[in-house]
Parts: sequence; C-alpha cells; structure tokens
Amino acid sequence: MNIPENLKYTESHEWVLTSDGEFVVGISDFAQHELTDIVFVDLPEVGSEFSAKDACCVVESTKIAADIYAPVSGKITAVNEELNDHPEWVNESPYDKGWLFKIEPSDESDLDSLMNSAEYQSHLDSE
Amino acid sequence: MSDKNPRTPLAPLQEELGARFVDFGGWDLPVLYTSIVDESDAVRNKCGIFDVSHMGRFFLSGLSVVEDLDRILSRDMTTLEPGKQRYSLLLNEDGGVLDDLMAARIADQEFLLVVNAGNLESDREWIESHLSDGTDLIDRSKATVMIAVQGPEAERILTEVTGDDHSESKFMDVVGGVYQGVPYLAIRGGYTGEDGFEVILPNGEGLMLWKELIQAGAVPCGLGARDLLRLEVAYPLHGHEITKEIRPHEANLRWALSKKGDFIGRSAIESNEPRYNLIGFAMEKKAIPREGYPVVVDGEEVGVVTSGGLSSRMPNGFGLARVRKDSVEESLEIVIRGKNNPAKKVKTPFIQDRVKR
Repeated sequence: MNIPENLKYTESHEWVLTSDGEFVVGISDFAQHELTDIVFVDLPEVGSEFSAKDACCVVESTKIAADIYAPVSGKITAVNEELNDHPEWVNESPYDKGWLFKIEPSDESDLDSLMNSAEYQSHLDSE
Repeated sequence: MSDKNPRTPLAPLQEELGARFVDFGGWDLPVLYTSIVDESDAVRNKCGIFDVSHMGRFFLSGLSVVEDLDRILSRDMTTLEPGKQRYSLLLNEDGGVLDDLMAARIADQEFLLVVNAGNLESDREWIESHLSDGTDLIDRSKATVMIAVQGPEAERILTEVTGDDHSESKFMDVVGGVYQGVPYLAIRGGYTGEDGFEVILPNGEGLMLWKELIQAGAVPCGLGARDLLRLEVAYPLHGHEITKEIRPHEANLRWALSKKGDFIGRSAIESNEPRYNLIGFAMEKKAIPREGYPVVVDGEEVGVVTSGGLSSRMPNGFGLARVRKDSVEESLEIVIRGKNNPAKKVKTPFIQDRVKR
C-alpha cells in the first residue's frame, strides 16, 4: 500500500497536500483499492463551503457510492474536472492525476487533527 | 464479510484468485476478483465463469410430479418436454412472487428446480407442503457445485475442457456429459443474456472443472458482474424487481403465466388490476441510479428504482424502476442525493441477448 510521506491523512482515508493557503485533497491508495472500479465522481461546486468532516463529494464504484469528507473547514477553490471523463484515474493515480478538489482552509489549525503517513499506516493496521 | 455465513466448496480457489467476498443470500460469495467492469466485458466479449453453487437445487420425482408442479408453478409444466427447461414463478395464493426459478424436466417423471439462495428454505417448505404423497423432493444443493460458463466462447471452452460436443443443443436444452469419469448435468442458458451453460457436478470434480476452465481462458467473475449483466438484458432479480408484494403482471412477467391450468395465485392475479409497471430508463447525463432512489415526474414521486448501474454498454447509467400504472411520461427524473437527474424511458432489454435459439 502506497502512503506518501509528504501528505496528511484523515481517518476516513482522504489525503491532503498542504501548501500556502490552498490544500489539494484526494483519496488514499487504500481507499481506491477498497472501492475498486471507480466509474463516476460527483465533484463539489467551486465556491461552496464546508466544515471539516462534512460530506462534500461522492466517488462511485460499480457497486457503491462513497462519501468523501472535507478534511478541513473551508471553501472549494478548484475541482479536477478531468475526472468527469476519466474517473478511473482515481484508481490508477490516487495521489496525482486522481486528485479531487482544492480547498482554501478557513482555519489552518484544522490540520493538527490530521495524521502523518506513519500514523495513517498504524490506523490502517488497526482497522 | 460474516464469520457465520457458509462459503461454497470453490471458496479456497476463489481466495487464491484474490476474490473479495460479500454477504449474499446468507452466503459469503465473491463480488469481484479484479473489476466488475472488466469481468462483465469478458462475458460479453469472450467467456466468464461464475460459481453459482449457492443456488438451491431440488430434484423432484414421482408419478404425479408433472401435475404437482403444474399447480405449484406459474408456467405450464404439462407441455414441458423432457430435456427442456422453462423459467417459472413460484406464487402465493395472493399472486405475490415467492421466488423465480428454472424448472428443467430432466426425465419423464423427474424435474430439477434451481431456486434463489436467499429463498431456499422457504421455497422448499412451500413446495413440500403442496406436493402430493407420491412426489419426492431431494435437496442436492450441498452435494454438488454449479458453475455458469457464459459468453460467446462458452461452448468452445466447455468442449475443450470436457471433450463433450454440445453443438447440437440450444437455449434451455438440458444436456449431459462426462467429466473426469463422472456424469454432469448442464443446461444451456444462464443469467447474463449470453450463450452459455450452467454445469452441475459433484464437489470434487467441480473444483477441477473450475481450474481447467480458467486454464482454458475463462475469466472468473463475481456477483457484481453477474448483476450488471442480468440488468443489461433486464432479467428480474427476486427481492428487487419482484417480491412477495408484487404480482407478475406488475413486473413485465405476464408472459411467465400459464394460459391454462389452475396454478396457485392465478385467481388473485385475474381479480386484481395491476398497480405498477416495471420500466427501463437511461440517464440523460452520466450518473449512477441505485436501488431505492425515487422516480419523479413533474415534481411528483411516481415510483422507485429497483436496480441500477452503469456499464461499458450503458455508459450514462441505466436501470429498472417500478412506477405507478398511471404514470406514462417518457421523461423522468431520478433523485440522486437530493438532486433531480433527467432520464428517459427506454425499451427493455437495454441490449439484445445473444442466447443460441
């Protein structure tokens, strides 16, 4: 299972790439493997605002629709519209071409509640 | 996955293949091996195999077996020739669908009924309680495995593995053969809309056959692909399109009712006007309809999705819905997570079957 060290993780298997003022969000390699066969991504609207842990996006495999939760509170600044034509990128490239959305955090201290890669690995081991 | 649910005799081989198991009808069964999309494509384009050993297999025999089944089942059993199979419904007195099943007349006075796993016990009790004294029912579900070999290359691959020539047989024919020195029973047909066979044989030989079919090029497929494939050809699934609360003429199954004979449920069907229609629909824009989503026309809820999905052949999403009889609009909306998504009524099946007629 690929768990890049430069990312932060949620218990619900989203990853966050932190940078100044804007975070990139996707789902982990573990999550895409569990879902398999991602055939549709229902992306949030740019400009919409969410609180941390709100369902803000839906990733659908052939069998199920899985909610994706905002890892931090904030406003959606961009979505990966290429996933409309290539939802399978979430499976093939979960940390790169399969990113879901960018969020501008309203409170950067939300980050403190996220896990680093080692903590996420232990979280997976305990599940 | 549950610790309590049984698995079929093929489960160890399926684990080796990386199967993911889910609870289905009281069993732990593979939902997929690699990908539902790839597996359903394999069946449409080449050949896939499904372990359907969880399904119930009842063997009935006796001098009055034809008359008994003609009353218990919705189809005319008196005209079913030995060596042929017929789809049928098991109805209660109210005309509700207890189950749907395949009835094969394997000898003059002997039938095989293949029933859904989730209804196995209740079906057996219902059938036994309606048999006359001279008719025996033997449940051989646990002593045999059943493997569905499906797809345009099914015949070639089954023949390559067994050495048996099945080229003369057609859809719904009962055929037999010998594999590893042991006789097997096969019925030409299946639940995918493709040509193929459902092969019943003892557990040990079943394991061998499963391995050899894969070696010969068949792709192992799970329940996910099976569900998607049957939906493309609009075959009903009990518990979804049909239930105890639904009468056959409310689910496009009038054709599965005998024109003569006094089968159980007939009078209730004749004295009750249908309340619903089962319709096919396709999404106008890509979205995945799923069971339970409301169907809306002009802001009014007129029905519910019974099965839905998205496939290589129906890439915008499609499904079946039970709608009120008086709802005849061609344009519908499917409510997905609170949003109305446009859809249009389409004729079923969504794709034409390719069984060998």
